[in-house]
Amino acid sequence: MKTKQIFRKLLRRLRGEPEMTAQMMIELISSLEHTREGECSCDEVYAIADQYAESNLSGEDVERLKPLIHHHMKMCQECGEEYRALLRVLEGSLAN
Amino acid sequence: MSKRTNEQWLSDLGAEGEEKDTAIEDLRNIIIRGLPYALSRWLSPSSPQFESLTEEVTQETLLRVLDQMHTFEGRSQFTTWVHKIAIRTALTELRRKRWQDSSLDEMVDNEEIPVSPRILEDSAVSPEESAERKDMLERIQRVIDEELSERQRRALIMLSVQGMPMAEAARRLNTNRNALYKLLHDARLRLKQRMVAEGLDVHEVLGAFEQK
Ligand SMILES: [Zn+2]
Repeated sequence: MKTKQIFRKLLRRLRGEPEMTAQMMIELISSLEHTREGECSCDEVYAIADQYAESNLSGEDVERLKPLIHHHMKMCQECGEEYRALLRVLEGSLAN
Repeated sequence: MSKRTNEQWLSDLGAEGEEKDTAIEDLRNIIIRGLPYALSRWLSPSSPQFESLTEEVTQETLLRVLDQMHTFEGRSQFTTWVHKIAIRTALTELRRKRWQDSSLDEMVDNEEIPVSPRILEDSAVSPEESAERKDMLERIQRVIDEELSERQRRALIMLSVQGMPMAEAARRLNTNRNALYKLLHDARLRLKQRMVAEGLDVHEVLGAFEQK
């Protein structure tokens, strides 16, 4: 290990900052499987989420048409949650 | 309540007096009717928190809608766009509250985050497999230590170990959710490239840690 890393580690220990757990390292590694270059950002997903949800509900193959948006919602827990919530709201108001 | 087209929503909300008041009242009702669906994964409408959260979120959403109306591009129904804003507002608030409550509990329950890798103490694993896991973990640890910046490490720990919402982690890092995602994406990309360079295969690593 390089000196810089050892120094940082010592500093973290002195400050009482938490280290990564083994479980967390494994989770991190498993997230690498679907990591790709040029992922889109939360803002890009948010900007289009309403249109994307409507297309999805009208039966368009949005996964194929907008693969990067679909990918982000799988990688980013919060964007995925918000999108699924939007689908529930739209489906709910259609049912009424 | 009369159905409005997108243009009617924009002109009514942009008007003055009664037209505007009616439109705001109608929009308020639309937001309130949507929130039980939006929150159904986390809160039941009969829970004590529900009413106050709904009230707060509806108020805040209306303000945001009036403020951001000019940015609406008409690529969806106006009401879908409004629901999107309501959901972002509601979930941000809900996550913050949940995290605050759970971190208070944790402070009482356990002050320290376990450093010892529990994964190595799986009793169903043979000594050879256990040694393999230990070796693998050390290699991963080194890769992570060498590749991640201090900022990336802090962000990862806040989100995964401490279960902090992105907005809260972003606030502590003096940034925003969008930039935080980019920071983490850069971290994942770096790690992925380094794993390739080290001849570490993601599947192989995960295979070694599969729960028996
Ligand atoms: Zn996101």
